[in-house]
Amino acid sequence: MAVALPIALSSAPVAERDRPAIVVRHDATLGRERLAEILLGVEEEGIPVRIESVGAPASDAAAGTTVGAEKWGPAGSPKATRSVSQGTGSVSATTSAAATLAHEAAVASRLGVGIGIDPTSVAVTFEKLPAATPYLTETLNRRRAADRTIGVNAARLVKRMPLRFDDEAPLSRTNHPGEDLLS
Amino acid sequence: MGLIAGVDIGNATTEVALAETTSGASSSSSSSFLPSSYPSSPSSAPSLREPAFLASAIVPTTGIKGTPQNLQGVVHSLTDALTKAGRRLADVELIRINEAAPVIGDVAMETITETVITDSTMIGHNPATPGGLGIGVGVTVALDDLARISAGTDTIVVADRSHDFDAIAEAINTAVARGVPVTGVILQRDDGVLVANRLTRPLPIVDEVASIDKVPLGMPAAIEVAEAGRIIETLSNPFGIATLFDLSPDDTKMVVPLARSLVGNRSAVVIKTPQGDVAERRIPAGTLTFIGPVKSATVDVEAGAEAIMAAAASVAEVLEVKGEAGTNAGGMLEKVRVVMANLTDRAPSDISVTDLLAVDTLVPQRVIGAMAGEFSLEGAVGIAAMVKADRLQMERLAHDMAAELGVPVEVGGVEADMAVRGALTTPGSSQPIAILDMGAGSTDASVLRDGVTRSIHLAGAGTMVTLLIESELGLDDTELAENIKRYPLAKVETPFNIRHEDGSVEFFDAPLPPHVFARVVVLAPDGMIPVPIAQPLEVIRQVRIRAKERVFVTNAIRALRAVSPTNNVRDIDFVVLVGGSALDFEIPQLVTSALADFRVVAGRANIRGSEGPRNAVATGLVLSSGGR
Repeated sequence: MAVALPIALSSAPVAERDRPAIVVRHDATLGRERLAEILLGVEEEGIPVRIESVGAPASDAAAGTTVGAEKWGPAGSPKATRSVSQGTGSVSATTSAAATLAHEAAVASRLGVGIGIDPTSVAVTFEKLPAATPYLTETLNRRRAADRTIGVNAARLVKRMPLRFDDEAPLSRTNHPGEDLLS
Repeated sequence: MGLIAGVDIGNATTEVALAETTSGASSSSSSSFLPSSYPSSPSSAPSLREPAFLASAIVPTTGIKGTPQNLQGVVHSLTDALTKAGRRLADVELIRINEAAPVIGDVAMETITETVITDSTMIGHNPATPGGLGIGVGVTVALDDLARISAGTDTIVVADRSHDFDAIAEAINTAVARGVPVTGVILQRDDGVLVANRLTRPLPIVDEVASIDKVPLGMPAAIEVAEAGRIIETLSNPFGIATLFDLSPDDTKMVVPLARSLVGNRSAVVIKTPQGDVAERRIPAGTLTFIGPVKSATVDVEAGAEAIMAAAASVAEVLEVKGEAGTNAGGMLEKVRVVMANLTDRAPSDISVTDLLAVDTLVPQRVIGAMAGEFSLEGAVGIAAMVKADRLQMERLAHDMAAELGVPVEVGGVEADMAVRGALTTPGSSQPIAILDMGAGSTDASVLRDGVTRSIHLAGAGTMVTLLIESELGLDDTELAENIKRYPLAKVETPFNIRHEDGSVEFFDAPLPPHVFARVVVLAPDGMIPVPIAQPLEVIRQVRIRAKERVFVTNAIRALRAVSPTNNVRDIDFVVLVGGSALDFEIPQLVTSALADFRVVAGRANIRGSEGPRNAVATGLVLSSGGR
């Protein structure tokens, strides 16, 4: 089922922006440790990612930086940062921020799949979906396993494989008009 | 002006045909309805008393056919039909119900083989994303003990879920740097790729091993991970295992079942323990004895469906089937008997099993003693049994109905006669005619020739198909199996399109929800139902079609042979298919094409030119009253 990774046949180096990858656009205030589990989920499924920081430059990631798997450091102390994120307010406002980031990321991705992350939520979407209705959404850093799962699912959208819903609380689904097709 | 309602209580549905008689029908009733007394076909009996049909209704049968619980469903369907016709219950002059539910079917599944791993020796499974590539041989060592292993010892690292992928990678990298040749890794979590990406040297890694605590430590082991899209080649080959472990010819013989059970996996681990073994064991399933009028035949369930059916055929008419006491076969038939006895309020010893359909099948069963939750396909026999119900049962029900509804209720003629009578209202049909009534619990056939009907009831119908689909796909969900049986499949390819099982593509304006993404779905009328198994669409489709063929094609031929005047299917010219299963989107075609081999013209009925294959018995009940 795995999608074969592309092999550069010409000797000319492929420009970073042209490499097929899932694009991750995140709020610049978020440190890499907040994203770690999501990125690990994508990595476990074997799909490359390109990470772009949006807004005020963060200390550890400049906009447009591409980070290979070998550069990914340990997850740091996610427990400490997670407590910071909990109890944040207005989810609806921030969901749309993640949705917008995800949509921009998907459009920029040659694989057509983007992940948007704002300080409270994660959105995953296809380039062909409207910006306002991302395909999958999840609260950021709710649980490590939930972060990992949404990363895995972003990769599975690329691989056209069934998504994982074995997390304790299933992924919240955004309002899909297609929902009424289901019993 | 009175209304007559024909009510057919079936195993799965209760159907009503509501008609108005033009001459105030006489209800001089008796249930001694003689087949020869009715006209050869409706068209040949143009009568002023021919009833005008007003409405039909169909609802699920409540309770088991022929039991007092049916009343609720009868009232429901009757009300339905009356509402459609704009009439009231008070207008109903007579209700006719089908005679003595002739059969009640039940199904059971018996596994006849099982795979047992004694003293854990292997892991063979297909994690979605194993890590690394290749073959490694070494001694199993827990990650915590890795620091104590001396340099130069070939090692396979075993890490449970208490270790993070980066800690595992770091420990292995440290050991390798120290000169310990690590040759492979077994993980409990789904971390194989993450660990592999962080190793200084690529290694084969098998992950998602659920019962990792059962992996024996300090034992020689071999690990193999195949490339994506390929299957393992060394550990599934007895000589491959012999090469890796330096086995003697005698030992090599011992690993044959082990190698066989690993065939088809993308990754595997074999651990050599002193007494380890994998064996396929046959479960003593017991014998079945068919008792006929002149002789009886006994057959071992283990011998399979073909032998069982041959034994059944050898006794001509089956009067009773007994299972060997104290065995699975005996227990299974006893269960059917007790269930039926309770429902019909009789002693189990009074219940006779009068037909039995056996079908060979393969069911996925959890391997006993396996470490990664492996499944193995085991041989099994699916059995549908049929019990003759109490003749008095329907009389009692008619009595209850009359009391409840305040309308006279009479028990009509033999169900098969009624079905033929109803089937003859199909445009283009005429005598002599054979009907094949494919319901939920039984497959019935009747032939009407020169005013005389001959009929038979056989075990095995829609419910049996559902059971086969459920067990062969390992679903554990009867409703889903029922849906797979009923509706076509499709694969969701993108959020905007599906590919139907015939290859055609359908697009949607709105994105399909995430939980059906990339899945095989059942296209039920009220929406898509995802099928939560990994098998490709084509496999699920084949299981569905084969289940239908093994039950309905087998039974169609069995039934028609029994009612044919010459015991030869070829001597029947026209067959009309009726009953709920004749509504299926492919069963009529499967039966029609199988019968074409016998030069028999078969097709789906169209009762009264409007009802399709439904309502045959209910219509026959009304007609037989009006025609008197």
